[in-house]
Amino acid sequence: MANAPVEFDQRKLFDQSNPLLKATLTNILSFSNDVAGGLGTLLEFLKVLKIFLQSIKDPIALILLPAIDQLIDAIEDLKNIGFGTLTVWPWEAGQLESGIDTTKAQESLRALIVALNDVNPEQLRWNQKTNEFQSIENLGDRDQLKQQTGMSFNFSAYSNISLEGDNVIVAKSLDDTWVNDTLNTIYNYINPKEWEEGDNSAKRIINSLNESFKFRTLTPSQFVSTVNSSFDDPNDPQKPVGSGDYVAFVGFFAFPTHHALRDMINALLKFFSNFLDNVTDLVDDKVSDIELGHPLVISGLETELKIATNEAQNDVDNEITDAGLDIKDAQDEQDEAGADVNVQSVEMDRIQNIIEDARSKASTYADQITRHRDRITELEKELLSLPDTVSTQQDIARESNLLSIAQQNLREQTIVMREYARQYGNESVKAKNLGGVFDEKVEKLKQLEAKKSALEEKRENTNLDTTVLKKKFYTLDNTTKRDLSKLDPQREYVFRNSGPDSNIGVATGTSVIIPMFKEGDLIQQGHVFNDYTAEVVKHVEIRVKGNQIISNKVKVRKPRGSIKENTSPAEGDINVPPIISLDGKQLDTFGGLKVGSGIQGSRDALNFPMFAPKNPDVPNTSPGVKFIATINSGDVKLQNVLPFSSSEKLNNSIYENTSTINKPAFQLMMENFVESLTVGTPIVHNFFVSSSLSETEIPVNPWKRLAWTAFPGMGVMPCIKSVKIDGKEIKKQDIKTQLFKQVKKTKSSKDIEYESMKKITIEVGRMANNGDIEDYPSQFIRVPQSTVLNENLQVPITAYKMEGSASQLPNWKFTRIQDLFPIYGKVLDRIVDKLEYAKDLASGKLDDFDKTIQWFEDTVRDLKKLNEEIQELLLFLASGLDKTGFYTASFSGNDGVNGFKSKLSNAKIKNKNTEPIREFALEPVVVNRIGGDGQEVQAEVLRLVPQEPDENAPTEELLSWSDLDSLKYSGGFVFYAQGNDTKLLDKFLLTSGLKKVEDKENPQAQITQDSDATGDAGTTGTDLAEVTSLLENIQPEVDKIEIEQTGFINDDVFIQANGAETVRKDTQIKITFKNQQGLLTDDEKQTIKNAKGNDFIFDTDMQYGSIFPCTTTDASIGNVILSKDNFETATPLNYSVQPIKRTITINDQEEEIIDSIIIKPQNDLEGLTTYKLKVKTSILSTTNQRLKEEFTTSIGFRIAATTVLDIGLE
Amino acid sequence: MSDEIIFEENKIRNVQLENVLQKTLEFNKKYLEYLEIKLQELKQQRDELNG
Repeated sequence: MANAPVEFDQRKLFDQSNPLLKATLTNILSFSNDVAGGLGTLLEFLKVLKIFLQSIKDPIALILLPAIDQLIDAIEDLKNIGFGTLTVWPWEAGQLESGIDTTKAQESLRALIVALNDVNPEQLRWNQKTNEFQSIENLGDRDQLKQQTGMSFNFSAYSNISLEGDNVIVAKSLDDTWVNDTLNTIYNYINPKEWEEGDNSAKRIINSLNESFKFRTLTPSQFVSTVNSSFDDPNDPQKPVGSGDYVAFVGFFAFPTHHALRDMINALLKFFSNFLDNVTDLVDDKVSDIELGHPLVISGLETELKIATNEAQNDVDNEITDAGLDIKDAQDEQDEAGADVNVQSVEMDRIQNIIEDARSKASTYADQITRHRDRITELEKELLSLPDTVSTQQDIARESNLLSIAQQNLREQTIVMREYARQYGNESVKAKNLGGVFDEKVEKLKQLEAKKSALEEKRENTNLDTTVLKKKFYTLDNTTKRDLSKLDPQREYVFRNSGPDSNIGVATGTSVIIPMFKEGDLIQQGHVFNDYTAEVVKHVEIRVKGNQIISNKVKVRKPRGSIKENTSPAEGDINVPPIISLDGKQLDTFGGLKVGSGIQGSRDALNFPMFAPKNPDVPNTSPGVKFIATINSGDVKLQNVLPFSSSEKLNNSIYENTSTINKPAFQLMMENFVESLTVGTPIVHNFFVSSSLSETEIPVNPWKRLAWTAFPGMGVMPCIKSVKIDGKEIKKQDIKTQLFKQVKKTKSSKDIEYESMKKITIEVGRMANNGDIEDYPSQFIRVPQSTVLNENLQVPITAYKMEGSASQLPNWKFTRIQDLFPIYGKVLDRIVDKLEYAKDLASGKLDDFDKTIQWFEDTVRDLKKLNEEIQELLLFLASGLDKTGFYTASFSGNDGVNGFKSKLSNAKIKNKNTEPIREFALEPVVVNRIGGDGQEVQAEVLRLVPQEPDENAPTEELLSWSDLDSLKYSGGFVFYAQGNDTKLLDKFLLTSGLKKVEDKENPQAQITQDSDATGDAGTTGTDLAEVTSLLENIQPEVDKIEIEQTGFINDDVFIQANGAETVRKDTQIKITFKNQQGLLTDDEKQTIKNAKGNDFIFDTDMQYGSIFPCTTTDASIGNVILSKDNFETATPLNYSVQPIKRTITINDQEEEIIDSIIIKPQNDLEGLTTYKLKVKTSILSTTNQRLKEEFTTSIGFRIAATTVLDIGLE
Repeated sequence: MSDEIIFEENKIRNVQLENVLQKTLEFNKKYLEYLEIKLQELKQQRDELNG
């Protein structure tokens, strides 16, 4: 259809006298009024709207434009409100209980040993050192024994005798084989692997029992400690830091059973959908990462095996050869220098010639090897491209053959060279004709020969066969670190499994291997009674540098228990059991009793993966974002901060460069840059002269690195104290708006354009031990020539980020309201969309019919969609979050993180004991019984008798965290904001319904039952009963019910409803509430204030949200009901309630209260019909008091007859 | 003890937001009604113009 060229008269279209439009505009007013009331942000909007309403000519254009702009801003603002959140869920932070109660198993084991070994139970004891059970005998008091025997019992010669107190104890080992047999049986029984492959019913039962413990537990105390520790987590860059004003909201739940937890999670899921990203169906099968420490071997195995296999001797041999060659080379040098050489023996000459010959041959063979290798590589390349592969393959085979011959020859010559070098060395020693310079070398040679013979001797005595290893395997306590000294300390090696089913970890550039876990391995820490087990999903990699483990990450599932961390110094052996593979084939050769089988068995045992647990969390720092800035000596403020990029250097012209700053990619890069500037991040530059952080200064030794847990509290570490844009503290939401200055919008401009970029300033601070960021000493900022411009700064400033060892603590994140309630964000988005549309309409862009019709059609469709979504959201909101066992508190302070932590730790939990559980007692009761003779006799028996509940028992009690330790299923979340963000969090808490407007923060009723009160309520507290009785005076009641005055249109004049005649069909109904506050004396008011707070509102102030008009014909629904038949049926009212606000002054503060509301019938009322209104008592005041009594209009009001005006025939 | 924090079981319900949305809904309904009438009017005008 062709576009009709018509004049588009907007004014005509939106004729102000159109009653429908007027009604719509009235609704806009009411809408904005509510938005303002609810969100507290749109008062300005209202004012503007009112002014324009008074002087309208083109109502839509004039009113909507400014109003809509403000509405958009307010809603966008609301959507982007964000703050720090921390969630602590039991399935993340909790622990899995070890499946079985091992203490019972231990007791059973002892009993078993006692029974089978026929020892006195009191004389049986477990020897920690030898890892065996022993029977002990107390010989008696040391002093008495000395008198009797004359022996002093200083025990040096008697390792089986020890002192316990003053008593002399003799310990005797039990029969070894028997103990090992017993332990082995039990070990196998407790091994989870055995259960999984359970082949008998007992094992299957144990397995299923164990599985029932799969749920992680977390007590409320653990919740608190996890929250508090998360503030100290060195690996969490998002954590809040520092002191100053804060606002926090903490919610937690605590339950005794897993089922209750599941129920709670469902409720939370409904309310905060986005909180629960990681719900794992609450059955723990998720994969998590663990970090392990140094690889271990059974103590002594490595060295003993080397001796037994001659490896150690070979090593010494090689050293001897090298020493011999050394001597010879030194001699040669002296010969060449024409020094006065000592006389060489003939034998030495002969040896020298042989060595020279071997050297020259070895060099030839080495050349041949290189040549053959190169040729083979070439041929292999050819093989890939040539069609005829047969001859090439033959060539390769020939070359390979030649290569191996050359290699064999080289080996022979090397052996010759070494053997004769040794002999040469020995001959030199014999000839004793070497000068002083050789003495040292000769001495070394002698020592090496001695070492070799010692090793030979040791080898004779080494018995790898049996008992030594079997005991060690049992406990695996006796471990040492795997020798990684053959690795080049300068290089970093990455070990990975050599194949998918291989336990051998290899790294490029070394022949050293490290046994690693493979997929499916069950791993365990602790021995018979394990502390930790898990199943390996993947042993990711082991990074080694400088003989230290940089990282050793294993992905596991089904973890049980927790790993005990090693706290011994890095140089020493670990002081907790190692983490081992439970089903290592390498240990099979030990047989059923784990008895070693010689060298091969020991070699296999060497390939058994076994690791130390990691040391406690050590932060790793790595360079993060780099930036440039203008730096001045003695000034802690870094000006004109810009990101550093080696490819594209930014300079100061960028601030006004509109072509660049309007590029989305540049904007995004700047936004990301600003976001990465987290307060507390360590920063490094040469001009910060006291800096202690540089990559080379980070100690590689992890134990020394542990000192870095104090980092960044080491006092002088510069870090980001604040980030400002254009001198204003940065806000976390909408960085783009803060960073870029927008071109002033005209009516016609639609796209946002930017005219300049604002400047970023960073203030340098230093982080103190308590987490506060203090001032950085300005004298430590020294710049050559006292100042350097950002663009001239050659080396950028580096901000470091923490990473490395994975922390088990949950991480803080920045959450926005739209993340928390996605549906909420969606609806807000859609509203904004619609408003943008409305703006187009109002700005007169729709300049022809077709466009206008299209606009109307689109709007109608979208509005319907929006309505559906709002209804969905309403449904969600109406269900609320109301669960027993879910506790919340919001609190604030001015002492930052430390204040929060201490308040949280000391918080109390109010336990409402509304229905006390009945107690029962065992009491003697006389009953009739049939005796042995068949006669009825009376007998006294004990029965459970219910006790009368204690009338005086408190219905509420305050508990501390530890009182809730029996509630093992807990968790919760924290919203925390500091500084600028506190207002945002407050706003969020109000708008999300988490905190009610009328909520005073932790209203603390100073209620005491102090009987010696002096009467001065202000200082001594208040009697609860008295306050309750006084509060009755402010219980609300209906004051009056009014309808709109007859004969006037929309003039907002209301008159008494009861008895009114000829009332308008479309009347609104106004309900006004009152209370009896006038009856309270000043003293009585003070008493209430003492209990309820100084800003207690005595005026009637209703929660208009508690008013539910009856919206159907069912008169039993709602608490405000309109009826024409004495409440047999109801006349439907609109759901919405319009509050009438009034401002009062309390303590010089203006407060808005609501003491009357207006409701509307859904449809026009019937003419000549009398209506009555009923108000039920379930309406609440803001003091949470119900109405004193139900109210009904006795006569009601009568509607006028239908007129021409009503049917629109004016 | 005025500094003591007390955790309580509270019903979390956002009545204010509910009210705002309820109002939005009502406003939208009215607005829809208005738009639909205007749409009809416009269509009628267009038809008249196009003969």
